[in-house]
Amino acid sequence: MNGRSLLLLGGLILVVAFVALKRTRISETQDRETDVLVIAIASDIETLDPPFSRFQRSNETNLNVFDQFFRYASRDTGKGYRVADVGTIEGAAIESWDWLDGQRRLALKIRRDTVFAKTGRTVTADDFACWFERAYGTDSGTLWNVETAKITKAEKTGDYEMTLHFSDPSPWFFSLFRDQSQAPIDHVAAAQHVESDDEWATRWLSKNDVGSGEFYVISWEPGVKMVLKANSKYWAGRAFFDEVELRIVPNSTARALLLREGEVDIATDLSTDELQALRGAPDVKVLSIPTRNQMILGFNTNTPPLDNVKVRQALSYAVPYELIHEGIFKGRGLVSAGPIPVQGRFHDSSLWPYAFDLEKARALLEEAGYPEGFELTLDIAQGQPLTEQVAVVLQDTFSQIAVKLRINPQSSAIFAEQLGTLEHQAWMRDLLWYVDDPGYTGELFFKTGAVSNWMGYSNLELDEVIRQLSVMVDPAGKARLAETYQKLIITDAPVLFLAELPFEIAMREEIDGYVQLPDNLLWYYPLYRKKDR
Amino acid sequence: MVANQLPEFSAARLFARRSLYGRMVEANGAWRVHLNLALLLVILVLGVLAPLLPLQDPVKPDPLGSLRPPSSEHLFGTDTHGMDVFARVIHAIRADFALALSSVVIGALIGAPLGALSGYLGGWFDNFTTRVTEVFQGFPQILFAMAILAAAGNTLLNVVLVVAFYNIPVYSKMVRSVVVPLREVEYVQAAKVASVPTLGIVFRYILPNALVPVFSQLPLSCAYAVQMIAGLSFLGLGVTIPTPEWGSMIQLGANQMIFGHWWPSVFPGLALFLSVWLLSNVSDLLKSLVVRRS
Amino acid sequence: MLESARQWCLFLLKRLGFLCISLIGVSLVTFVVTHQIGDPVYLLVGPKHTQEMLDNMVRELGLDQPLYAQYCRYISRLAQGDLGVSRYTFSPVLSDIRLRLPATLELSTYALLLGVLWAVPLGLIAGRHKKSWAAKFADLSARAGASMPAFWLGLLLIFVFYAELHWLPAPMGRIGRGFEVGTVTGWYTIDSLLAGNWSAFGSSVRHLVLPALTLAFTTSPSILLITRNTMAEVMKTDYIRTAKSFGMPPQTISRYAVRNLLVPVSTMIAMTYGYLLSGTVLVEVVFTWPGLGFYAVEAMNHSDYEPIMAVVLLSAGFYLLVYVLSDILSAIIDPRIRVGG
Repeated sequence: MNGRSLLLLGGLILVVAFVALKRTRISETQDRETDVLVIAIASDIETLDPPFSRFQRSNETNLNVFDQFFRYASRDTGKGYRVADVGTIEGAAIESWDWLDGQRRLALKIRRDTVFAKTGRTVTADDFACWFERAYGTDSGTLWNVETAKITKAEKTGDYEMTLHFSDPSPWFFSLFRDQSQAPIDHVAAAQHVESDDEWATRWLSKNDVGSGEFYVISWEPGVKMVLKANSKYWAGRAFFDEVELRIVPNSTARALLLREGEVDIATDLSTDELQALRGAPDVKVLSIPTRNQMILGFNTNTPPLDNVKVRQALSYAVPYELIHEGIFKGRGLVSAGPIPVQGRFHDSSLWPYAFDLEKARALLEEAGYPEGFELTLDIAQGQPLTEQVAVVLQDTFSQIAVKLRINPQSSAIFAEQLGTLEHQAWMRDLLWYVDDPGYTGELFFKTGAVSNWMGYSNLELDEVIRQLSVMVDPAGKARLAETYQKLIITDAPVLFLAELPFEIAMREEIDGYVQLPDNLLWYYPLYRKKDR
Repeated sequence: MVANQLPEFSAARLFARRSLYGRMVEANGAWRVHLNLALLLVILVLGVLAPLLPLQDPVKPDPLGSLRPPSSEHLFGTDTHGMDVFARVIHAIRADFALALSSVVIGALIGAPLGALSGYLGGWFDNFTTRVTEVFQGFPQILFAMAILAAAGNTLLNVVLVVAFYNIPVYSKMVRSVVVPLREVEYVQAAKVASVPTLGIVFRYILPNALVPVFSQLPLSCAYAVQMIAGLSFLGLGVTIPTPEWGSMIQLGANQMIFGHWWPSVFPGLALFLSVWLLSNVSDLLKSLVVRRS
Repeated sequence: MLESARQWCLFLLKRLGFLCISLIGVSLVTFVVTHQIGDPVYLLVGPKHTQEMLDNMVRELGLDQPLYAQYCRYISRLAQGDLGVSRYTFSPVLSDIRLRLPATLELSTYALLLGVLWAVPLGLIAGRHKKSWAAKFADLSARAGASMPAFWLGLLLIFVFYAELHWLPAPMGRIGRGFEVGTVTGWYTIDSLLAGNWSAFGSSVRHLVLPALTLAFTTSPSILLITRNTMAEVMKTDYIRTAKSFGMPPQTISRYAVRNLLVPVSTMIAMTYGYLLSGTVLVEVVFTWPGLGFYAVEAMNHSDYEPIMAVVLLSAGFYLLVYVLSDILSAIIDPRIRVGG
């Protein structure tokens, strides 16, 4: 056994291998009988228990597996997709409703022919009551929804009737209750899996779905894929697809490639570059839909130099809005124009004074007492190429007014933590306002001490406006308050509004029926495959 | 014959001491020595002079001109931010070499004395240090570096310290192996008898013998350090945006390659490859100077 | 006899003791380090939370305890085989690892095999015939393999063989879509053969080619060099020169020479294999290979300690085990090593 014969052996093996590889060039996919919608997703579903769902992936599955209280109507845009019309609410699990007592009471009539797919039971008022009990009992995100909607009591008033009591009229009730986590759950199944240390059956429910929605889960391989099957007894008729397969593919380029090769029907969470590459691919289409998703740079308004409003205004003039829109988003999405998204109700472009004007920026900085500029650390979460690209552009323009921007990418956990503890000097991320109401945004984000007030911002006048908005249902009154809301935030500039992001999703050309929902979740029900035979 | 003129074929001439350079050329051939040293020098000079050279601004973003293929205007094309890849590749020399050099020097400065002490003192200290260094060689390097950087903060200083840390065992072992045979040498024994303190013996008599092997190892360690730093920045650690650095440049262009935009990743990778190659070659050249005691 | 047995016991004890202490050291250091990374608490409770929810989460994760208490808790759970739960795959770390370990093992093993098939014959020839083209080629390829960044080479190969030539599949996992492979060993190549599924076998091999080649090329130089150097040294020894001068056939000479190579070369192969387990990180990231390295990188990005701890412990443990085993193997072959301790 010497060197030469070893090499020869190696060469022989290589030749055999090469021939074998060449011969096995059969199609790499195996056909199925049923029509399955295959979607490539970025990460696993966290939980099937709606109150505990915190991530987009689980929210999407919950949307499709549970039958929500209400939903938005949709309209055709003529651009190959439909959008949800946030001004028009339809009943889903709830068939009809009546306001009583000057909007302090709401009588709900539950739809009678809805069935829980896995158990075959019909949905009754008990299942809704169960949902409310769990909201209070589990002390989770759904409780926030209940309280923000000003609900004080939920009582069962019949087998198919419920009455909700409100402390004040709530302009956000319907928007909050079409949320994916608001849906009846099978109270019998839940009760069967209660344990001594788990009175709300949270462990069982996190892995088992008990919804009456358009689909239900038939298999779940953690980290690999989840398969949903159509609920043939769904009240609005069965979905087009027999099954939906959610394939977990953590790398975005891999998802893009799978779509291009035809191995998946839809690829989610792709980067701008991948979408750009896919636009030219045959049999693939990319939908680019303007949304109320804003790219926001938030300041910690309590530490110098950012505690000085003129400094913040100066920086607002140092943002190259058009360049970001044209260069980074390639003309998709919209140029930012204020705290209410351009497509939002009550948006008023005339109130927005900021444009890219370095002279004004310098002048304001001088007025503020920083003619030499200053240093600024901008924290962003890792793995967000768009955010990084915008940050790089800002770094360049800010340097021209002597503001030295240091970009600091952090792991998502640290980034999230420091948002909560107000440790960032400045941060940047995109924020989606899926409730089209400035009061809601204010309640969540701009109010003093609000849960997501990551700027430490406090403006008592604004707080009062938000408070009034939270109970104002009259449109004229809302419009007035919204104008004040916009004016106050624009002047104070606690954040920079950098761009309005489009929602972009890539799918095979033959997939149609897409409906854009305000929270960017993918709704499988209306999708179908065009067959040109 | 004149007294100060060495005869043509005398034994004296054969045994005359040549310069280091002369010895290198003799051992490796003029062509190899000249080529490698010259290329390395060119790279270092380019790196040092980078800001003065007529290059495009390496950190100027141009979103409208992103991902342009190589052309007369942009020799290596532009990346996703629209920055000129050629200028960035040249400027990256500074980042990579500076980081690598500092880590290696720090590692050697700590490792060499440690190895010398350990080799000279022997006993439990020696045993302990050897075992500990062996353990640290068993750490999954990249993973552990990631964990440390994530914990201690993702700064350039920390990157230098982590890579320096990985260099300590290399120099410690090398110096120790030089020192152990020297323990019994006469002048060391003499110094001991003369009550010269241990540290003095180590530093004055023993360590200097290790200088040449250490110096010959330095370029190779630099090569590994450059690779490790590039690997870490490929994973997103230790870089400041938008400072040019080969590993992060490769990472930025990685996803573009699959769609046919090869230039943002290929060129920095070539530069990295070439630098490591040259450093390894130079290290070989220096090692040929080490006199073997066999 | 007794003397030799006593020697063996001492030697083994020393080695195993070393293994244990090292592992404890590694676990301690890694634990302390990973727990400075930052709490995933805020990420877990989400934006719509109350202070109470935050406190509950902190208590649930045990983060309010002092560090040494947390470490003890970790070790006691480890002893029971509980490696914790990952906060982003939402499954137990042990099952995550069980899924991903075969992926890394399969890749590393094939990479090592390819590397050995390439490096050892070449090294033998280069060591034997020092001035031949083979020696020059060996020199060049060893230098190239050691200098080339593995992640760059991987990208380059993907570009050439997938993006441009379309000869090999896209870098997205271990096998094409729709192939069902049973899980006997977790190695897709073996499992598909066991099931008689030829097309699945072909697909898994095609997905292995590029990452394995990348790893093989960049990790085999050390094997190549040690084979060549040892061979060259052996060729210079007295008894080989004597054998040559006696006119013994080249094959016999080679056989004698090779016997001397066993210890250093096999040690290097073992070391490379041990290193490969953790050294695949960058290549796994480039090829989206669902192995341990990729898992650890993802965990790092999510400040998820449990997987990081587990992977680091596993890799360090594997490396140290291989190191100790090869030491023992060498001691069997060469008794002098036993006495030295």
